[in-house]
Amino acid sequence: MADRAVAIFGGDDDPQVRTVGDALRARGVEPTVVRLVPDELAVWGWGTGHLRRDDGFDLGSLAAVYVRGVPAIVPRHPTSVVAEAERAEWEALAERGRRWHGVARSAQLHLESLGVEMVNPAACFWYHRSKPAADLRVRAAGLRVPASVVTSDPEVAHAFLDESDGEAVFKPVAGGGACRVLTHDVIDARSAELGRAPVLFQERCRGRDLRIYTVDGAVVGAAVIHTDNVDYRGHETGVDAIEVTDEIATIAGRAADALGMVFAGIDIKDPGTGDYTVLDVNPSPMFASLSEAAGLDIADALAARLAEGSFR
Amino acid sequence: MTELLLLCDAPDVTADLFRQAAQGLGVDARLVRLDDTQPTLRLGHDVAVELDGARLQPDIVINRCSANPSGLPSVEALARQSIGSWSGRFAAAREEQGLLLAVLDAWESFGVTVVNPPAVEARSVMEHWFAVQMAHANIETGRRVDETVAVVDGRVAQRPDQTLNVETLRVCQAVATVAEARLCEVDVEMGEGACRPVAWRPRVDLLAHGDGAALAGPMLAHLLGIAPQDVPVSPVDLFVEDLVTNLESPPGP
Repeated sequence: MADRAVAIFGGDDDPQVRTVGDALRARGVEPTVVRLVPDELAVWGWGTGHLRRDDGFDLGSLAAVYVRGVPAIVPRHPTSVVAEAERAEWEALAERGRRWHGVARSAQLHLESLGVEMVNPAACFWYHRSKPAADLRVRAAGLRVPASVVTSDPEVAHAFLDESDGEAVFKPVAGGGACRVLTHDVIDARSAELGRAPVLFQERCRGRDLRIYTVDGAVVGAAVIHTDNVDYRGHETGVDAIEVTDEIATIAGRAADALGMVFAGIDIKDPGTGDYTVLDVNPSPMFASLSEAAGLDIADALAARLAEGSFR
Repeated sequence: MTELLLLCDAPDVTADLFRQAAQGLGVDARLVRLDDTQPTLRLGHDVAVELDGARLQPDIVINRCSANPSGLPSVEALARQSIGSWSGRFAAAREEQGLLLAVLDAWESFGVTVVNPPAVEARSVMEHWFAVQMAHANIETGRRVDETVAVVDGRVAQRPDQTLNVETLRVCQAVATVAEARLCEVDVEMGEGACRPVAWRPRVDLLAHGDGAALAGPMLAHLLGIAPQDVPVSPVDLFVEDLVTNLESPPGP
């Protein structure tokens, strides 16, 4: 039985949380699952050497935490149209949500300073707020990322599409949304929206979609995801586990290291010519359904890292 | 000539004061208001930040926008969105924040000095973390705001009407050090000895410091590395780091 105390920050209805929890139990570690919501955080006691829940459990005594997610409290409104009279109230609600998020991130930073291993550290999630910021770091590590432009200027978007020989896609700057094929018609139809908020335009990279999982920079599982769509998410037609070459393993490890990630899910485009492109480096990747479909055991590798301090 | 860029969310009196001070120092200054315009970021063979088709590569950026990587958009960022739906406004602010984080990162990667980087703004939202850091440094926090103190590179910029004791200077320096802020202001509760910090902000409001103009020049000169004798406004009574040094090592008899 391992003697390292481990927690998971996330919801126990999340398949990733459940599978890592099961893998930890199989190793003799009963994880504490904590959902970082305001009601939970409001009763924690903060001190220089501890972070204590109201039941006396000191999170500062943990050896490691798997950070699956920190909920973002986004204000909702029953109507879609902004009524100016309610604007101040809505903005105050948004600010309250932002402050609560700050408390959750404070907890992560505080635990890091107490020597708790955070998988992943808070800074990894910071880069994930901006895909181009993450790309800059991956690029600085000498890896290929797609040529891209982030703009709210339709003329710049048109010019970029021409420079890309008509082969481009667009996606949200802050991630999370689907990647779609870019055409001049799309730019014209959405130029008013574009003028109000920037969009990430990228060269379209063709080839096999590889999803590589790394722990401490080493590959712990890899799959090729079959799809007919520009974005495989939600459009998978099959998944096969693969053994990666040393070159791909090195690329994946360097991408994770560039962003300081202990655990990462890296999306790589393999055009078959050896010109691999890193599309995304995810600090909290989904792996439960992919593992099941491809016969991988990512949860066990992650559990080993959390419970033993090493996945090997 | 040194080029200064002031990046701000909306109309910003402090940014205007810094721009005027820059002119007085012979520095080329440009103010970019994000409610008016947005930069474009290119990542191709080259990485470039552009505004209205022209490349922007200043020597120093005073970052007064609220973009931060720790979480959600600020009220300032939400307020300037022109989309007519609640969710659209939130999404637009989030996307814009993603762009600004990358632009500021790109500048830093070119060697541009960014005062302050977005990580400092992120720390300003983490009040619990800050309170623990203060406790770790044996600094008691306060509740009532008696004074607001501006700090640049660990040096306290003292208004002509302020008389801060050495303990207060040390506390304000400690706050800036914990925040890793080159430029910040600290709200403090005054007491018998050391003051107690109540809050801090990475974006100095110069109007909270008299008319602000007296501090703008010396603070900017310090950030730009301009020698005190070349600053039109005398810095003698503004930076009180020397006071600390003198008190710790008094001149010999």
